[in-house]
Amino acid sequence: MSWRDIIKRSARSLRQAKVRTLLTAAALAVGGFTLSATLAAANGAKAYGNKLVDTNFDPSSLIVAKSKDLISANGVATKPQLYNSSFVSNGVKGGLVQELNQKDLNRLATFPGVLNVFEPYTSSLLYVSRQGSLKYTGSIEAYDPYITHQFVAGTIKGQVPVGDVVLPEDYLSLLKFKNPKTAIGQSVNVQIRQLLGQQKTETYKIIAILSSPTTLISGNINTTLLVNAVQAKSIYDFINQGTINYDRYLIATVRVKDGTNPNKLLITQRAIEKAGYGAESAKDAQATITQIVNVLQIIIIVFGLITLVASFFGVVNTQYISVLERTREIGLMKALGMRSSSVRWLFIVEASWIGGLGAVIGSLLAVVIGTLLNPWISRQINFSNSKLLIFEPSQIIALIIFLIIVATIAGLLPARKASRLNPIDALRTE
Amino acid sequence: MIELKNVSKIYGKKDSRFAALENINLQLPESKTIAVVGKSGSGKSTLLHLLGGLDRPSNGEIFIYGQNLVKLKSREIDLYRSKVLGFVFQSFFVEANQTCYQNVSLPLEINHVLPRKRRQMIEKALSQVDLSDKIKSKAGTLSGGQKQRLAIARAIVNQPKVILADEPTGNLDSSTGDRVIDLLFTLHDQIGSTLIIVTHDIDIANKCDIQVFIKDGHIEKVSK
Repeated sequence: MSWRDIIKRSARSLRQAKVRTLLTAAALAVGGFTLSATLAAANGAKAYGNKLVDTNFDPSSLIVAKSKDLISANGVATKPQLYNSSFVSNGVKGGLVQELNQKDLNRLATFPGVLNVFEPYTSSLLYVSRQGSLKYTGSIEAYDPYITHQFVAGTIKGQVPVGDVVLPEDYLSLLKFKNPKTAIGQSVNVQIRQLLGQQKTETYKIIAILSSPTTLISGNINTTLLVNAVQAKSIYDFINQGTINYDRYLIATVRVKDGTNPNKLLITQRAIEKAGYGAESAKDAQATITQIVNVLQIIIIVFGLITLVASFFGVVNTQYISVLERTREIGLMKALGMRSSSVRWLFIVEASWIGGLGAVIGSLLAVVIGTLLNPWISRQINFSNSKLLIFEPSQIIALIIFLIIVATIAGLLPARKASRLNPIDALRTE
Repeated sequence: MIELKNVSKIYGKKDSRFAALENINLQLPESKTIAVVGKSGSGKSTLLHLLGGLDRPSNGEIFIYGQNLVKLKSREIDLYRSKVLGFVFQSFFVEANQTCYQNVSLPLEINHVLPRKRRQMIEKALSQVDLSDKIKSKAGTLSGGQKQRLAIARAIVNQPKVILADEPTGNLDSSTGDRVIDLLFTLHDQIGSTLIIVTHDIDIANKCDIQVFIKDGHIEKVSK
């Protein structure tokens, strides 16, 4: 019997047992659904992670802190350290940590391959306001000309001029601006309070409006005004004057010449680490995120595979019943001279059909439901414009092929039973 | 020529030994109608199975058109069954869920007949058994006599050299059975194949050119 006839006949047998076929396929579809949804979620999480790293890290730079522990724990000490009078509070969680000072920043600039060292001089503001508006909280830091910023209005060439400010989009309506364009050139006031009590107001001219980033690693970009580095430093110094935080910086960004070349980046990273600092590249950050995603993905895939094991036995069972039901038909086909191998293939292909049907139903459901729910899911988990579920056609095709193979393997044993039936005995069965 | 030499079929050993056929020697000419007559348990079904290549003898040799069935490999036996033989069974064995067309198509598929040649052959076979109008009907909707005629169409669609009919009227009432037998004889005349009918009905046997009477695994007599 030709392949064409085997495929047609096996499909016909399935059509004649529609309910059984669909129920068996449904079991496989559950596995297919779980696996394709898992893969899609992992794609989305990885894409989100990459986007996060891309928008928050410059691939050619390193994030440097005073010690390695601080890098791996986001600036928080992970274990008790020997006290040193240079330690200051990091302001995040308990415990004092070593921080960078201006000397360190200057030293970092001397490492091989270093293009420049950027310190944001991040300071909390008392409030941001404008004439006739309410007062809103916020922070301020140095504008980094090496990072690509997305503006909804205004442009900046090189550095922000002293006296100018980049305002995050979220402040527009709060500060009663009608639209981004009208805000350009207007002034805003920032109120700064020294830790030791003194306050002062500074007024800046708005040069550009920063669009709300789609993805955030820490939520502060929407509330951080950007000014010239010199200005940021003077505010930082003003606020921290006379305190232990004065001239202390948690992290700095070290930009490497030709740092997009991983080898050059690594040479500088190693040199900085050798000097006792902690350094992390965008790739490291990405790897951490990817690793977390991978672990989660493996866990869900294991569950998907467990459902597949169950449906595997479902297919075996269904095919055994099919062989029993059609014993006489098998006997007839063999009596008419059909080869045992053709009989075997007839039943194997039948199982493959079930696998293909289940896989297509499962992955199609996943794609449809996933696509419909994507905006809702993204809203629920604060994914903003990113999609949690990203369906890769190549993955879905691979998954369908995988399920067909699983079902085909499940069909082997029943098919063997069918091919070994003796035609005389088979024809005697009632 | 169909020839059986010292053919025995023995089941079991020692105390439970049972000879379904013992030392059968038989020569049957080609293109004739042959009746194998005997009561149930006489060994006539065993003989049919041996001729049909569904079973192998314990001893002896079976020559059909010069081929020694005993020496054929399983693949060659399959080919023999699909190319040389046409089977008609007592309980029809038509697939109720499939159309008449699909039922008759089965031997052609087994024989690797090209799809574009099949339709014509199937239509011809169905018209020969007077079922042209049922080509798209499900076999399950047919009456008993129609089912057996469908089975006959399936048996002849390949133009076999030998048609083996095992009690073809056993499940039919006498008038329907007569029609089926008449059809078998008519087709035999048209195709020129050898027709071997296994039956216990002496009236049917008498219509054949040759009658082989079997009793307790032995040939009682051969009438011509």
